[in-house]
Amino acid sequence: MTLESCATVTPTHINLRALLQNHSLNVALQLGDNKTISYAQLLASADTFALALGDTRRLVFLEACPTPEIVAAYLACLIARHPVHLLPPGGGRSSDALIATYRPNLLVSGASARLDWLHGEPVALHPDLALLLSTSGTTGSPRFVKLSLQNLLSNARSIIEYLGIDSGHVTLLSLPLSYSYGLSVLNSHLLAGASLGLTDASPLSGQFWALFDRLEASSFAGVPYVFEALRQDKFQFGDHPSLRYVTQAGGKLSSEMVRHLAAAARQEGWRFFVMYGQTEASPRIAYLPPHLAESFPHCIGIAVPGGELSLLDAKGEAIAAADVEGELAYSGPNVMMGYATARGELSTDETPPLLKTGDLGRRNSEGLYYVTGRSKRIVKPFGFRISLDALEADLKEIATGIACFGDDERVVVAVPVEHRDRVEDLMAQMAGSYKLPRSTFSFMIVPELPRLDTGKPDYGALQRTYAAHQQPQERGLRERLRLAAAVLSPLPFLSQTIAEALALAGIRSASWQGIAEIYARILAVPHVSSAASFDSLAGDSLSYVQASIAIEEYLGAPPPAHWDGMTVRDLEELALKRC
Amino acid sequence: MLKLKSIDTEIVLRALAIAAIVFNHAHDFTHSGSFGSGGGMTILMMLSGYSFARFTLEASAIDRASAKALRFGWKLFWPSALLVMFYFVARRQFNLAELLFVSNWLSVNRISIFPVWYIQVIVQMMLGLALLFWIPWVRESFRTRPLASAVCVFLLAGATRYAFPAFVWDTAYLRHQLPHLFLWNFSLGWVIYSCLGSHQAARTPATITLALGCLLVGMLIAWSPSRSDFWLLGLAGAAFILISRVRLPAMLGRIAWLLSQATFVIFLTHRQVLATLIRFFPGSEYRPLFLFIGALAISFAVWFALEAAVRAYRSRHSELSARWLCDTFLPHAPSISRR
Repeated sequence: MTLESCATVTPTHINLRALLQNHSLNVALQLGDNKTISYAQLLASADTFALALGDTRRLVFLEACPTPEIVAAYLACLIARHPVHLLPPGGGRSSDALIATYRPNLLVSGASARLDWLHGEPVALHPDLALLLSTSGTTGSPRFVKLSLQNLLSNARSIIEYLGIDSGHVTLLSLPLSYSYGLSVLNSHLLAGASLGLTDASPLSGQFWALFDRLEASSFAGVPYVFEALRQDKFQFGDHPSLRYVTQAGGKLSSEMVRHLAAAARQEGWRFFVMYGQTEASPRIAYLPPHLAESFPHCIGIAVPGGELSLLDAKGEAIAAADVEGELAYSGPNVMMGYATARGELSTDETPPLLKTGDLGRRNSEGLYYVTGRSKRIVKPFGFRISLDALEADLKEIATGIACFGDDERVVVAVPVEHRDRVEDLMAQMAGSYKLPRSTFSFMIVPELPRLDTGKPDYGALQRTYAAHQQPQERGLRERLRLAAAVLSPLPFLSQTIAEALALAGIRSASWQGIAEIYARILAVPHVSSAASFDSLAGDSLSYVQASIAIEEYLGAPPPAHWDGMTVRDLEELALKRC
Repeated sequence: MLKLKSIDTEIVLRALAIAAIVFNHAHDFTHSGSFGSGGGMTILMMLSGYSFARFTLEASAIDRASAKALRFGWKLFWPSALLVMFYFVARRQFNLAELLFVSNWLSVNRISIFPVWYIQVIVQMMLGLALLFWIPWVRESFRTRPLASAVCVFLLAGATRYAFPAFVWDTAYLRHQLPHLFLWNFSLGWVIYSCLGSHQAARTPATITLALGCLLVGMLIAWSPSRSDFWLLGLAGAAFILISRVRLPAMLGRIAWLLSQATFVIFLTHRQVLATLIRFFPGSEYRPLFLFIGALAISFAVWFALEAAVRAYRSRHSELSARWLCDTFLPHAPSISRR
């Protein structure tokens, strides 16, 4: 583990520039206005940008807009070995917090890749460190996955191999570049000498598919909510004759949906790849060969070329037998260099020998892996991974003696009564770290944290007690009246009414904190689960207009067609992607 | 530079329809010209049919169509029934047929000041539709051939509107305010939804032409070009079919958003407001513009205040419930097992 502190750049054993130069004459990028950019032109732009970055290795934060300038800036960072973190476009408070934590030397922002020098303070950087990505569950969290160029290129090569990407291939970017899945599409296509269309149009829009047809794109990459929304809109992939294959990752797609897409693929002559991965693996870990998708729709398939999947039992021993549950583990050249939570942690390489995914799974007799659940201390509300242990450790800095538990619907923080006045601070910390609706988080005040003999919190007891108190019918008439009286307490009620009136009039922005809250308040439903939809909650034409307007306010854009049939989870995922 | 906002055409039309209704009733107090100023009701009925189709006639929802129709009818019925009773008390009169929401079959005279006939027609129509969708083959037909079924119901309803008063029972004295004579208007919304709204792929030149054709048939059956209703329905229907979203200046867009949400409350209250304005501003019955603006603004303000209060109540309720949940863990604490 060597440490390099702002030293002059030394030649690296991977020459990314030379790899890309092999495709000089190919078209690298295509834009909506018929403009094309060759690999030679893209490399020339990257070289110019690299000159501006200077010879000394710097930490760069880059706002990942889907523009040629940003792609060139990204390549410049990789080629000139300046570790780069990709921020979601639009910045916002979470980006500001990351910048405050890591104090990058340079900030590249805007569609035109404006370069701002923030400071020249040296930063200790590991020589192999190339890229910093937020883990899927912690967008805006200071925890980064550290990746080397070797990690990125080995995974891109694996993807090229199993998808069969070649230099004649064209794809249209359908995912944010700050998202590891979107970035892997860019990396693999560039490495193959293929062509990428750049657009900020949503794949749920007609504009996206018109451009797709015009570019004669051969592939499409999507996440579950996109496939579900497209299906609700009766979208047919077969209507796009240039399409050769479709990939899906970013969360589990239902078996029924996989079967549906696989059948459509078979009938219409394209291939459908179900994929599985984690940012920690740069990101692809496994894929399901298309011809098996209809027969094994619940499976994630086999390891990507060059990698190895295994299952570990409770003692950490490998499981050899079929159909025995264990924790999914992965090894391969694409496994990260470890995590960083602060600037001082960018100089080390803690590549784990085995990446423990936190997912529980089994391997069937055909050798295909499938996920059966998650290790109990990891939850995935809205598909975003949260380690309850990591969250608990973070929150203990605000209030000691707290315990976190929950499921894929909700994260609950048990707070000892002496810290009850810190609940607002805890909520602020969680809302700041996790771009999830506030309704995802709950608090329970306990007189004392129940503990096991080992001294660890008794999460089971907390879970049971919380569940028992979630039953609304336990509330008696007296308690209901007491609650109603408290709700109607004149001054606070009047003040809230004025606040609501201002929001209604558009004078103050609406304070919707989630789709569940919108439905709960407009449809007067006490508990809204993430699987509920406007339709399933008996929404009707009387409440439709109000709900559609509230959702438009919350999303900041018109809701998709047939939003009324989409689940709360789908709409929240849409909101998160739009963020 | 003027900031523009993209708004769903349905929302804009809903706002225009309720404004047109208030405008028409503001003129009611002054004169009744031959061309008239009606048309808001017929637009609103078409939009109601469209919404009904969205929630009820989709293949995934059709098996619950009867229940949904009844639930929708009930949601319109109970606030209207409360208002009817309020007028009984306030005017010290009583009419059983009006209380039972069937007075539209007997007379155009009502105790209630608001246009209760419209609610009566919709509620009765919902009862009829609940029965219709109770029949398995009707549901199956809508499930497998939604467009053909919607067009079929529309044409049958249109024929009824045309032939029934002429050959069976002339209900001109009831102003034709009966459910079977308005089903064409409601099911026109179904046709438009089936042609255009169910999914993007359905929007083809053929379906657009079919929707426009049905709109024209409806206009000709129910109204003549000498009536404002004919032209308003034609313009609004064509805009609805041809334009999915419109761009308006942000301020106008916000007003359309708010008015469209306030439709039901404005509908229930605007007549009372008109009567009150005339009472307190003598001579205002000859100033329809004043009445229109006053009635629209005051009815809207009623909704606005109610809506803000309801939202405040629900917001505080949700917040305090969460705190209540936290609080009650303390007395229940012994139930937390300790080992």
